[in-house]
Amino acid sequence: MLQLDKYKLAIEIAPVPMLLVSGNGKILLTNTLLDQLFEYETTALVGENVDILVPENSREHHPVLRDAYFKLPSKRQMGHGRDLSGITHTGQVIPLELGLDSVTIGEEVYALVVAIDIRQRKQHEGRMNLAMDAAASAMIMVDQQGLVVFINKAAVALFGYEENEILNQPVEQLVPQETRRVHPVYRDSFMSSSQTRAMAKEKDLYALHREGHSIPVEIALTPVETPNGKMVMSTIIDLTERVEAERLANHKSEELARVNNELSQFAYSASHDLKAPLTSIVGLLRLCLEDLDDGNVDEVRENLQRCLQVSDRSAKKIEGVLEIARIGRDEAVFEPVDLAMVIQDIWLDLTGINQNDIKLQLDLNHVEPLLVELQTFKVILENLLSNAIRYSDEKKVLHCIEINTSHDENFINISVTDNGIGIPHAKQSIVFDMFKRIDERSGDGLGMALVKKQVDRLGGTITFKSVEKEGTVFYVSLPRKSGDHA
Amino acid sequence: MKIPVVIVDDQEVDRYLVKRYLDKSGDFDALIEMNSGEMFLEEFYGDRFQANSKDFPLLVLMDINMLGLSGFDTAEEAQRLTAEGKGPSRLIVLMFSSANNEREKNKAKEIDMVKGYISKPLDTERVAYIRDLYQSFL
Repeated sequence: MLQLDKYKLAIEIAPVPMLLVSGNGKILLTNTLLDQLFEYETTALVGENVDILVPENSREHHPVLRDAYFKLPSKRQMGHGRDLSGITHTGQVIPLELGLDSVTIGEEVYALVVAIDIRQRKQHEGRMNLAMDAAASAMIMVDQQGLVVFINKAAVALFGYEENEILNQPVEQLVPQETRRVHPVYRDSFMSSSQTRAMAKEKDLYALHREGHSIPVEIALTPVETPNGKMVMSTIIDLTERVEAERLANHKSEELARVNNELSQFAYSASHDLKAPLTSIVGLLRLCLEDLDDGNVDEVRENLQRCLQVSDRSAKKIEGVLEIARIGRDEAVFEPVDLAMVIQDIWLDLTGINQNDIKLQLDLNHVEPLLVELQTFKVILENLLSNAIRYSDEKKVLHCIEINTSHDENFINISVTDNGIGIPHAKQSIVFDMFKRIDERSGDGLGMALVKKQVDRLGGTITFKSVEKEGTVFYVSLPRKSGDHA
Repeated sequence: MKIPVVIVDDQEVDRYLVKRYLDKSGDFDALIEMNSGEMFLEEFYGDRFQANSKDFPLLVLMDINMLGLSGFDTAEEAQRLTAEGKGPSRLIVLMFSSANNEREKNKAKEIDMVKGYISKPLDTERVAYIRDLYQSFL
């Protein structure tokens, strides 16, 4: 065994723990470093089967693997891609990296095993993983083949997969269908250029959740040199909230633009419609002064009368505008009402007791009692009914107005149908606009603007259908208040 | 000569004021009153209208904010009909409004037939201005 002695010296002076094993698994030589690593007395392992150093859970398969090695011995790493470990004399399991080389001594082939203690490296890795798991951003490391070799907790949560459903799988399963096919090409080109960069700069980037929906993301790519080759660390930032916030902000600014537009429209209308009567009054009063100088007292009286009329109309108009402007300022008070009674009262106010050439029909199918803001409700009905009366068609023998109510789970629906002259097609788009009048029967052009704004405030809708010469139907839907479900 | 003049305005009070001031100046014919753009177009561009090329140009004070056709719509329609050879041989249209805002003044400049913008209410000074403006186009 002189040859073996030669190896003994070589092994002993090697700077790493080593042992020599025969084909049947018998340990022939160990060095002190190895003995120390496995906590044995010097040379205590010689003559033992090498399986003694293999942890119990993999000991069973070890002889088979060993035999396989001795059939085709070569220089390689043991258990590539798996975590290897050994067991010490005191039963401590330690992570190892094992190198194998074959040595032929005479006729026999032996395996020279280098065991490197990677406890520190594992500890370091563990700490790294802990740190990365603690990171708020999702992180995924991908190897050169595009397989996921690491995924942190944030990434697991972001993509909705279990860790083991992603590890060692192609990273493309996290890429939306549309870009999945080209992704490996990008990945390869990044691997070969390997400069830290953002993925798909300037483009909206999406990742695929396990449940199939896309997640807006921002991804930074960092090349990493590892003992197992070049890899790419992707840091993924979930933009869902940011995108949502942007959407909200956009919505808000659209809303603001709308209100602003409404306001400038209002200012424009006001410049016409509120200023016009004042201008007339100024003109009339000037005339009065001139007429006074000329002694035309009758003319003065007549023009002062005109001034009064214009002022009166103007004051009413301003009240109407203020009523619209005030909408939404006061807290809504809901109370139960008997709709039939409310309609009756409004009808009497509008037509007087003896009015009977317009027929009012009620077809009320909602559940009583109705909970409404009584004042608002009256304003809506008053305007709809007074329009229906004012625009009745002289050419028809019978003037009919019908009020129909119904409800569904969330809304009470009220329609007011008349067989009046209808709204000309060209005027249908301005029905709800402030100060817009259809013809000389119109009031100040404020009524329907008021109704629309009130209905909007209550979260309801108002629409209409109108055919010239046939009539008009207005449909109002108001949300049902809890309490009228009984 | 007296200036033939039409007021197109849906407010009776405003027509009355124009009538009083124009009468007072003595430079104008009896005011022709139209209470809507539609009425004006019917009267001056309808079948019954007879143009007389010897007439002085017709001065039109056109209110802007009217029920039905606006003053601008009416002026544009009159311009279109004039191009077809209908209506008075010459028109001098002045927009006549209480709004006195830039938007309207600019729009008035865009219509060829419209030669000016007069703010309501009329007074002696503005009547003189209208007369001078009219004569500058003769």
